Amino acid sequence: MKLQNRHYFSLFWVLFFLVIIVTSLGYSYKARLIPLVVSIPCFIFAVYRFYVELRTKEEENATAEGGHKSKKEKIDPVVRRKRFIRIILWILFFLALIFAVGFLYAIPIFVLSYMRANKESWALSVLCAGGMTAAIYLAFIVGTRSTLYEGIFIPLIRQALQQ
Amino acid sequence: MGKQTKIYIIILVFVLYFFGMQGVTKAAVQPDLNFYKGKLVTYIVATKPGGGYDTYARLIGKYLQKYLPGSTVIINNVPGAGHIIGANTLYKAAPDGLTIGTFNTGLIYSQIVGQEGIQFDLRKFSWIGKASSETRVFIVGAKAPYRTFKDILESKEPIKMPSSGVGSQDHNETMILAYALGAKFQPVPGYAGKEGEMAIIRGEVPATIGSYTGLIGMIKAKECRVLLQFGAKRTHAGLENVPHISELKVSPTGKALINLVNNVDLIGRLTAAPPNVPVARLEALRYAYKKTLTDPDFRKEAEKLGLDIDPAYGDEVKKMVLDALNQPPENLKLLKSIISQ
Amino acid sequence: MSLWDAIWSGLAGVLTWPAFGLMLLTIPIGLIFGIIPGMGGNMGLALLIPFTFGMKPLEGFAFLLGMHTVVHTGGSIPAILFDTPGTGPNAATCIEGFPMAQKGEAGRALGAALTSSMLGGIIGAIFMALIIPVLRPVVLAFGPPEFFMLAMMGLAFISLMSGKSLLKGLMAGGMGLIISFVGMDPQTGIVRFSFGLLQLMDGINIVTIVVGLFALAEVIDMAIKGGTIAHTKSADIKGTGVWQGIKDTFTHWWLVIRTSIIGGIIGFIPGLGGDAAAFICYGHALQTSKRKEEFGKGCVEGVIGVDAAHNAKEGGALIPTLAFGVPGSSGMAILLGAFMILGVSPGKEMFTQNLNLVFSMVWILVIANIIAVILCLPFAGPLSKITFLRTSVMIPFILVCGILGSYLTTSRISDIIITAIFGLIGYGMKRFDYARGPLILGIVLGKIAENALHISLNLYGLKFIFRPIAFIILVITLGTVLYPAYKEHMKKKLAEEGR
Repeated sequence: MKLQNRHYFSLFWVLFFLVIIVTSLGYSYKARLIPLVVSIPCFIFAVYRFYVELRTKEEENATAEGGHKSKKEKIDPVVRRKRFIRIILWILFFLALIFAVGFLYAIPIFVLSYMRANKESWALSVLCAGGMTAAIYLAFIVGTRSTLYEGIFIPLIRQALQQ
Repeated sequence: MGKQTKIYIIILVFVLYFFGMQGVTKAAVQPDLNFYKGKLVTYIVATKPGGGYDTYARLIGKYLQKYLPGSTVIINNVPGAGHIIGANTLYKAAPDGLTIGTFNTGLIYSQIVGQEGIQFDLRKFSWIGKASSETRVFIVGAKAPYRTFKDILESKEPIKMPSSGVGSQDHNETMILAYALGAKFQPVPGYAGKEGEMAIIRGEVPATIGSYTGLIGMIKAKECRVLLQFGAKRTHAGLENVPHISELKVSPTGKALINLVNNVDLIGRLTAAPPNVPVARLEALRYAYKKTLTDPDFRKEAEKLGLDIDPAYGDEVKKMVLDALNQPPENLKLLKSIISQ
Repeated sequence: MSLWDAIWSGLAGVLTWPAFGLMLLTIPIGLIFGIIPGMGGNMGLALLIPFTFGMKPLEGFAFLLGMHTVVHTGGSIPAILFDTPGTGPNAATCIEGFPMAQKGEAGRALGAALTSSMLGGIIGAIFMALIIPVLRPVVLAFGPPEFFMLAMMGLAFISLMSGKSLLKGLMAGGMGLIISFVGMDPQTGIVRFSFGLLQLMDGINIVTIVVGLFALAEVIDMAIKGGTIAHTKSADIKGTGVWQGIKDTFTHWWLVIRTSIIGGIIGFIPGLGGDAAAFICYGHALQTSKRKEEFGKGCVEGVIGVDAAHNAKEGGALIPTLAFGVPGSSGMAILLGAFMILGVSPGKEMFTQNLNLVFSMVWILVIANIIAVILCLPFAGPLSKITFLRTSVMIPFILVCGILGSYLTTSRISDIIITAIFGLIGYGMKRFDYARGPLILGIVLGKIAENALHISLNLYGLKFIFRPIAFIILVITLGTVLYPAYKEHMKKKLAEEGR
């Protein structure tokens, strides 16, 4: 049987509690007591759920938060996967920017590129990117006289310029 | 002049020259105050904002700016893991003289016992100074049946005492003192912050140790009785007839342990810089620190804030720290076994 | 100083300049910190405290409390508009508030949230004032055994928040509990579940997780679904606007009072951590509602109960903070530090010589709540229109605010990675119908419960369960959990007998 995403997610829970159980066993009695009391039953629940997921079809899932499912917009799974990967990549891009050049440069670069990639006008994109950056600059750099994380490259560049 | 006399004179001249040069080179290290013009000095505080270490640091930082002309001192709070994260951060900061920091002296015990997560060596910090001496007290709740410290020592029951957690300073001190005095202290970990005091008021536990300034509210409100003091000896309100731990009769090992505890408590509110800061800049920091702690306006503000000031500077603090850490190996082994129970 | 004098001189103190001016200054700051997801009150307090150096006590309080009181009020706004709590407790507002926005009822949700926040804050402040005479004996009656039972009661609400799948809710709660255990264990001094990472040595901050679990998860969801947040075309349908929300709050006045008092009590009991208040009151609102089926799909009662609670708890939390120096909530823990700078010592003196200061604080809570809502309500209508904005504009905004806020709360850059990971987990939970509320509840109560348990066992052994108050709480908890099951059972039995 082909494993769908929901099966992987159920498996995640199984693995999570398994890791916790194994790690806890390495601790002293007092330290592992409650973690085991919590994780062992949850592990059993997770295994059971995984088993149930394997046996049920998509429609029979129990509803938890519910939310508002007005029109069950059936999104084609291929499209769904494509969009999912896209947004994950965008988030990773943003994180990478932050680690590279720090918040103050990452934010405008990201906002601008994301909005343009989604076909917003140059005017709106620049406005949003610039506005957010300006607000953050004023609030933090000026307002509290501290520095936001600067990434790896900015301090290097600054040092090189001071030489 | 005989040949022998001439030789003696030459040797004397060389000796004088040798020692003279030492004196000259020492005096030649002028504090490099100019370096700090227009620079930003970061003062790392190993706790969240507010609270003792933070308040001391902000006040000291304010006056440091005055004595390092042209500089700006900003506070950077790096809390976590009982001051370990802040101390780690300070230790690993660039040794350019632009980062200083403050953390709990109790980390001495943590280093002795090899606490997980420690990435510093207290011996190697560049010590700038310390601002106060702690008087610590042993108190019992108003409802507890113990009248004097002798009662505590003679108690048949273990004396349960709240501590913030295994590995914290109060926990370590409780264990060390229990061993040194032969007392049946039993720390109950898990009481963060002032919850230990609440436990005393509730009568949940009979006794605790803590800093005098921290417990003064309780003492003044007569919620507890002070049975013993250690660290710096004082006779403030509530301490008039309280014996000091040095007056108790204990074994030589006990005495050595008690000395350690006392010394650690004397190094209150320390300030240090990362290892290997250039000597001239360290001298500048020490100079400014000393001027700050002796500045009359500083003293006045400190008094208004209720901050006790009992300073020591530079090498004196370094010596105190090294003395505490460089115990004879048997002592270190003993300490380790006591603390890591 | 007599009680009557203290009350009025307290008021007089607040209405003087510069104290009043300082409060007016910081209320908008508090709202903004609340509104921007991930930033939140505790960070605001930490930033503002240095400025109080040198202020007179009353001015300092007006300055700090003015900001602190209104943070949760502001935090409800992004919770409703984009499923992104402004502060930790606002995560409970998301549960009903966001589905309302999706139905196009954002205005109604905002109106209800703001109004109930205000009323909750006022009632919490009044509660605080009334409790003062019986303060000592009540606070002293609660020790570790009682804290443990209360935490258990809180955790029992997981069963109520799990929707149709109890197992999934329990698993989420379990993960929350485990997350709260990450870090140094006070009972043994060892670091648990850090896997050698220094960044995890101090545990994981709840804001880091909440931002990921809600804001980032929502971003992923929005990117996949596209379109706009609200699934209907327009907000002009009758019965969906801000005014309706305000009316709803007054219609459910009894719910407001109940949840405010519960919130106040939870804040009042030190050792419970007020952050759980909003979630517990969500469970209570659900339990006592005549429209249980609507919960989870956007029921305004879920918004009202939650918002009243999270403002009321601050009033409750102020008391043990002032009386004993033991903080009743995470925000109070930071405020305690500020007291030192202001030269005020918590303790008996506060309630004898400085009673007017205490009442000034009560008045600040009341007045700040009112002003905050007056400031926000005009914007509620226009703000609700944001839910009709395109996701390509909303996504970068939410992402930036969330990740920046996550970093700013702890100053650890590694935390943005944790946020991202929980964004993924949160999306999975949304997609595959795992309730997220229980996870947050687990995080908030986990360590407290464990610690209280070990201390109780240490001091009293297993007998601690039979201490009077602890036992009563245990019975109430069991009743709360078992009663619905009992009712179901009886219903089935009656149905069968009817055949």
